[in-house]
Amino acid sequence: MSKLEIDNRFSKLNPSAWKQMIQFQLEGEDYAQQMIFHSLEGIDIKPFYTEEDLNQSIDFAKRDWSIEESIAVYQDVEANKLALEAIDLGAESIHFKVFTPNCNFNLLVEGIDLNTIKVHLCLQQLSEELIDRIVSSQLKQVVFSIDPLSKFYVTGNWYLNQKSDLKLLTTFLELIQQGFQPSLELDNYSIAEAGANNVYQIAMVLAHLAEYLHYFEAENKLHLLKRVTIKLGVGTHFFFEIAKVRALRLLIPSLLEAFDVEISYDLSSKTSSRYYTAYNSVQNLVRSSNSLLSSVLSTADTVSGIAHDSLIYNSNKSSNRLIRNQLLLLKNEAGLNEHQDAANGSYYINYLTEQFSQKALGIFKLIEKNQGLLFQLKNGSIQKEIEKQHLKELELYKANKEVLIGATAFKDKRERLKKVAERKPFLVKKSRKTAIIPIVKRRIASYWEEKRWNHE
Amino acid sequence: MSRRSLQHIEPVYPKSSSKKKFDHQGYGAGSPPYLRGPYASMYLKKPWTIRQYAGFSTAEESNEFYKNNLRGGQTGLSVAFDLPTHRGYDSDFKNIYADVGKSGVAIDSIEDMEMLFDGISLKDISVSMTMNGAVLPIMAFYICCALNQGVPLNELRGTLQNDILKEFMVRNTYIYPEKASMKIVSDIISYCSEHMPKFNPISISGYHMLEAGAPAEIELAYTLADGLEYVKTALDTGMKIDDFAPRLSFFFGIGMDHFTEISKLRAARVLWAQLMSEFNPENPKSLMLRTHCQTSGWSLTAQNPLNNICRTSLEAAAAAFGGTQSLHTNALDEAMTLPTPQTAKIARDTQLHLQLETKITKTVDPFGGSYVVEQLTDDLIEKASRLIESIINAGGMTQFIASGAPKERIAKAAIEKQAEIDSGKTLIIGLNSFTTDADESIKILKVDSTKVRKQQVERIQERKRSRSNKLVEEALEQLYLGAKNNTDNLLELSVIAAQKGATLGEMSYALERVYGRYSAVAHPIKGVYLAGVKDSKDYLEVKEQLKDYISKKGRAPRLLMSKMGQDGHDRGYGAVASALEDLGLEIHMTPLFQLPEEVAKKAVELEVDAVSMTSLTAAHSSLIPELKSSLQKHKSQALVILGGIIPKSEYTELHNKGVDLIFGPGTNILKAASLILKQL
Repeated sequence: MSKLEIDNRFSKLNPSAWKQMIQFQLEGEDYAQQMIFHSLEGIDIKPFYTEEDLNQSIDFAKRDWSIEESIAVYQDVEANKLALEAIDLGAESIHFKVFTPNCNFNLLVEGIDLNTIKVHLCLQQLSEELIDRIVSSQLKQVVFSIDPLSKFYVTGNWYLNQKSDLKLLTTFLELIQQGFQPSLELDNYSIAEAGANNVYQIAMVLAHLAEYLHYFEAENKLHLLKRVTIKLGVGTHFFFEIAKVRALRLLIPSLLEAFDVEISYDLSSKTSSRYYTAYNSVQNLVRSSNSLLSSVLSTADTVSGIAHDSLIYNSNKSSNRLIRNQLLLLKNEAGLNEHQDAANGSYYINYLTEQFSQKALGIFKLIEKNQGLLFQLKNGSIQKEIEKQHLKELELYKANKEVLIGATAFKDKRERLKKVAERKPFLVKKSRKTAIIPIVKRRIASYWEEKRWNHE
Repeated sequence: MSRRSLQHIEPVYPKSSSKKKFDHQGYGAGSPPYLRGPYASMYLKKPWTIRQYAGFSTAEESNEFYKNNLRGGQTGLSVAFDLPTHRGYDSDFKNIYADVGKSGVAIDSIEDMEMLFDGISLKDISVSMTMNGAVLPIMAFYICCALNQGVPLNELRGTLQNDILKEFMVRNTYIYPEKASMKIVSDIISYCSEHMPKFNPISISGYHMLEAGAPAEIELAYTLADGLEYVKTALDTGMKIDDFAPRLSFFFGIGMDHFTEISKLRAARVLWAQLMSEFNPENPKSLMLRTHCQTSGWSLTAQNPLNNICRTSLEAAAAAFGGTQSLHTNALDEAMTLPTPQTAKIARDTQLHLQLETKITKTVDPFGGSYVVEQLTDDLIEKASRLIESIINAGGMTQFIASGAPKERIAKAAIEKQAEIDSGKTLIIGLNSFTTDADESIKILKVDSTKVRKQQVERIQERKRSRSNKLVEEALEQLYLGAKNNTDNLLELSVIAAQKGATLGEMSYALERVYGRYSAVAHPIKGVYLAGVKDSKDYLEVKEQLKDYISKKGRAPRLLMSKMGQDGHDRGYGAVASALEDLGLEIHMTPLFQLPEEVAKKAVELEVDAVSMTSLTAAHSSLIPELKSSLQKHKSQALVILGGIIPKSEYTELHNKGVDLIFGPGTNILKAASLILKQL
């Protein structure tokens, strides 16, 4: 039996014959209704894709991807200890989210080999004093990042006010001239958590980045922008998540090209809690496994996850380790170091990537045409659009067209959480004065789980 | 702020180099050679069947478990039988007490089968039965049960594993020798093609080869070559290819190498279509490979068992991307024990997640075109083609198996893998890398085999009291004569015997009188393990220890390794024996299925320093105390070592019962050898 014989005895299947075969099997049922899936992004998914669907081959070079550990810093020594433990147990990149105002940056990174471990300090304050402390630390091997615009749409307020924040941001970015690595950090994760669909998330990244490019161009300071980190939220729609990141890799270069700047950008994916459930929380381990797999295949630079029980328990080593282990499994046991580029060539992923990039570009251009992201945040139209998308998705779950295992279906009705939970798994509404309506995260299962919790 | 217009921008496409196109590209799904799936629209109308393999204790308990699973979203059943049932023994047979109800459900008679499916309509639910040894009585009970439920045989849907060839290679749950076993296989295929057109009379299985250590191309080649052998056997009986080929089904294992596993299923379909086209079938379904898949149990670890959720989830996704027709997902605790209802739910929900939450079912073969997947598919077609060709040239799979070559080849691969893990070249998270001392012990489901056995024995006795023994004896004699004279279809005769009230053991024995019982010899494989570990620090330490031992005692330590009970899984047994011999110990191996007294006598005869038992099915709890007392009776001072799936919670009790050393799942053999040498 030689391998060549295979090819002589069977004929290749052309798309129209394939479609005909399906139509025959449908026995009169409507092809479009039964076989075409209409996504929330407005994209029609066909039952099969072939080489004929390839307009333009979208292939990205294999990248080194890092296992990232996110650590919230409220106390520097404690956070440093957590980082060292995480590194010892497999973390390759540390993302510190620094909340404490008096954080000693040197203590925070003490003992970390900065030559082998990527360290990122995402600052949650902005002041001259803070910038001075960065200078005093002389930490030039770590990335410091900040983003007043993210802070503005997530909380509804600037650190101080728009003018001062942008001025301080400029001072911060000027640290590059002293050999530091200042970076913008675009929080698209919150956009995903709030319920924006994948295409809209892409458009928001572009609009966000464009807002800064416009500003620094007008200030004649584009040269200060050398590095951007884009934090992305990863949901459970496997191939859509892959296509989202790949579409960004098509679009970000085009935006940078328009401004004639060279900026290094990192796409940093993290599992989103939007599709997590508080009840039957162990199911979140299954969700994160596939979300992380899609992240790696998407060409993300760094990948991280959130613990399966983070909705009900405080951050704990055991659950953090589990999520890190999922990434270690992908890297060491599932061959994802070798085959990280496996999405290249896939007819379906290629089609999705094209569709996502075209549609996102259209939305982005519309935002730009209407005076850009900041203007539309201020008039509330962005927030309204995201809320509309959230509600549209929620309706699908309410109508049982979509399912969340453990929350909307296949529930373990005996499970009780109230007495064992360390925290309430629902958004706590705080009334405070804000300059704009903030973009808040919305978890799908909350709709069902809040009622269940209240009835316990 | 002035804004530059960005209305002109367009995506910047990366430069793409020309990629190699493979010969197989361009084939689709739903038409031969079914590269991208057996059905044109695959999961769009109906996703794969969630078919969880389960069974334990008595028929009543398993029945309750099945009903719960069906209520929880499972869509098909898959029955696990206990080892005595597999090996053709009734639960009251004297030598098998330790295994009754342990790793599957005990089925002795038609009543047990009826109880197993009580309240479950065999008309509506497809049932898969993992049975290869006692296939005739089990099929007979199932058929009678369906008839008693009022279900016509032509409406029965399901699958019988009935793949005896792989038992001789890897799983060892055989009863009769190869030739007799093949006659039984062909009788079942023939019976089903005549009476049960919707039932798959065979599930040609690669799963156990993967679990035994076979790399993808070997699993593929040997499984398809097995399939070819069954086809030829069926054709020899006078059947036409289209009478039975459309009902042949397959069963593959899905391991952690994600894209290789996806590609394996694609390659399998192309290769099978190619092989079957040689017989010029008229029905294209005769060329179609449909398969069940199961995630790999071997890939799971007893250490940090929650990591197994991720392993299973990734493997399940690979099975779906590859286009499986049904799937079993392992529970996170299956490396140690039977699943509990909680862990079984997680395993089931893993499939529900993939079907309902990920949108991966919305298009056929979503990785089709991927350079990685197409390359791997091509590689596997190429490598497996060559292997199949060599098997055909060697006279076919039955002869190839008789040569012992496939068993040895798989065993070698298993030893190589063990050496890679022990030397740290292959990382297993939580086992040999990124380990912690955190206690992540989980609840173990234990089956009280004494209680199960008592119930089963009482039921057999009642059965024997209430039936006409004369009619049973006549039916069994007919079965015996049918086998002896090679005249009648043995399944037809078995159905009659079952209807008259014969038990599984009685029917099996009627055939054993004609065919005899098959037994195989185990031996270590030399040189493979040492080649993989010789540069490691641990090996050098063991080498020094051994030198000291030999200088003091004048000879190498002598160890008798044994497999007691009815379990035939021997990957670990063979790998450990081979590794220890390579390290310099003098190793003797007993055949499989030994009794404690037989092992003790052998230990005394060989004057060994240590005697070990490998246990995977919890039979050690009864067998180890007996081994210890037999050794004492024979005044042997040999060290007693226990290895295999031994829950940590049992260690103290086992030490109290006289076990000197215990090695659980995932043990590094170099470290184990060092401990043994210290203890001797």
